[in-house]
Amino acid sequence: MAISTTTNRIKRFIRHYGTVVGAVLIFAVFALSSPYFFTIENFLLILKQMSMLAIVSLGFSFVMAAGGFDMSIGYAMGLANVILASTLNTTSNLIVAIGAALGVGLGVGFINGLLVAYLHLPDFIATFAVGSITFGAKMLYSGGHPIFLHNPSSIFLAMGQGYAGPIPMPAIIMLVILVIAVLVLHRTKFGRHIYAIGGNPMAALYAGINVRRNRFYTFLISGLSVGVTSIVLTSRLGSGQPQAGENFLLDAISACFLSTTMFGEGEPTGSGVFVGAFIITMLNNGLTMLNVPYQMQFITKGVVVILAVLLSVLLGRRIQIRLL
Amino acid sequence: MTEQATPLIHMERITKHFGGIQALSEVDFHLNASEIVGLVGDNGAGKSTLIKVLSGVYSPNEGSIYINGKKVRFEGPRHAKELGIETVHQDRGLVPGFQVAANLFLGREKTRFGLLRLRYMDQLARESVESLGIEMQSFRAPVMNMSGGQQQTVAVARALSANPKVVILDEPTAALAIKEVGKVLDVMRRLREHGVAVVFISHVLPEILLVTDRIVVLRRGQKVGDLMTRDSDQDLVVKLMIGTEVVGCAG
Repeated sequence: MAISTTTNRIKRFIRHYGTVVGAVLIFAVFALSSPYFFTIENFLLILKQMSMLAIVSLGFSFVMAAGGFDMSIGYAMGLANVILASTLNTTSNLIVAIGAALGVGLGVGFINGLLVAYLHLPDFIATFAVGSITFGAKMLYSGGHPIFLHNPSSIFLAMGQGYAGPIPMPAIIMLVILVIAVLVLHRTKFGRHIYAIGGNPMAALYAGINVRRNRFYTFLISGLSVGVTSIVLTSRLGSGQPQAGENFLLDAISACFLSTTMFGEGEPTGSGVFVGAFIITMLNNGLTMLNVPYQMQFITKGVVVILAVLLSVLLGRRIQIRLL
Repeated sequence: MTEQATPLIHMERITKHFGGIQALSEVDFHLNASEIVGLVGDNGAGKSTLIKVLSGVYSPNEGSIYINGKKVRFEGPRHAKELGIETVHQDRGLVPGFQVAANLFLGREKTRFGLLRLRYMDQLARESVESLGIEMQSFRAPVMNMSGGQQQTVAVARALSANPKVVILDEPTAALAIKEVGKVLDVMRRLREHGVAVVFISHVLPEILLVTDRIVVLRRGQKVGDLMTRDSDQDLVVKLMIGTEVVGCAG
């Protein structure tokens, strides 16, 4: 009896904090391997590097909390990126350009939501197809060439490149969005309802929750976060790049999956997604610092995600992710 | 006692089909305040369909529903709840990863300035579960880690927290320990004392005979029996269920 209780305690500890402990171990390895890793400068750099990933992953986590999936975010971000750059060039109006980027994100989210929530297409396929359409639209629009900003205002460049004291601007934007996302996910009715939909859609329906509308909203939020991220991205690049944003899909999925293995929830949480994005970025950052070839980073990330999910399944948690 | 002038709930000639399958045909069903009605029937007899119509999940193809003599048309489960009809579904309708309070207040969370009042809801949940006379060690654990009886308690407590006129319990005693069954039956009696009408669905006829005032029997989507519990016994009810007798049906 006492032994099994102890075992359970260990299990519970690993389940709650296993991923965080793993992250600390990786952190320790990097810190011991490179004198430049465990420094304030590098910590601020990681904060800056992770900010776009964290924002888009937080949006993604709404969809995932409601039991859905959004495969369109990478290509949608690329489309928002090139449209923002060209709108800024043609109108020279920051508000209009930002509105256009948010509009692209929301538009893609609207179509995803319509297809999945109201027309009941499987989310994996529907958002994948929408991603393909946005990829084609992006390539048509840009002709496959980068769109360089002619005369970007200093305000716009500050969003992706500026600092407030030692803190990078993108990190500040990320922290503001993190606070909002955590509040909405965990402290509002809407957040409760989308977790309920992800956990047991019939229970949500019985409780009088509008399942379709709330699922629709999660895709809008994911689209909105794509739009916001594209603003930071365009500012940081100083251009619209046809290939930009594509890697965010894998990284955001990784961050959200890592989140489901944290704090014993089995679902993505706001703070978990933040830590997940930090882990992914730390991996990229540390591997680069150790001169590990770029290609290896993809392999490492894939392995880490598989290990994290495997660990949580072995520990008996039910992973509530339905791909189809 | 059963033949009041206007019953609390009157379902009239309810018909429901799914594609070619006739789930209910012209079923009449009424319910009075302070009454426990047992709804029995073999698998596929239409019990679940009937209560899903009464709880606003399905809309009937034909037939009408009256509450206190006034005709109503449910626009959905929420509407039925607003009119005082609460249901504890067979699968208990709980979110497995949610704690007690989150499940109890699902769909009617308490908020202040748009933010959830977590501690307040926790406290209300505790009071409401304890008022059912059932002990629960942990309110903070996800309900999926709890026993069937504890989960059932949460589901019943949730139905009661809305002060309903009607409570529908769909197989509430299935998968419960005997001690826990007694408690669920006690809860039904307590509801009756407070003027609530209870619909009790169960496969376990001794439980039905023990606690109900009246028994309605369905077979293949039709009502084949409506009898006072004191005038019936297990043999009679079983005969009605499997189709060798028809008793007390108007029309």
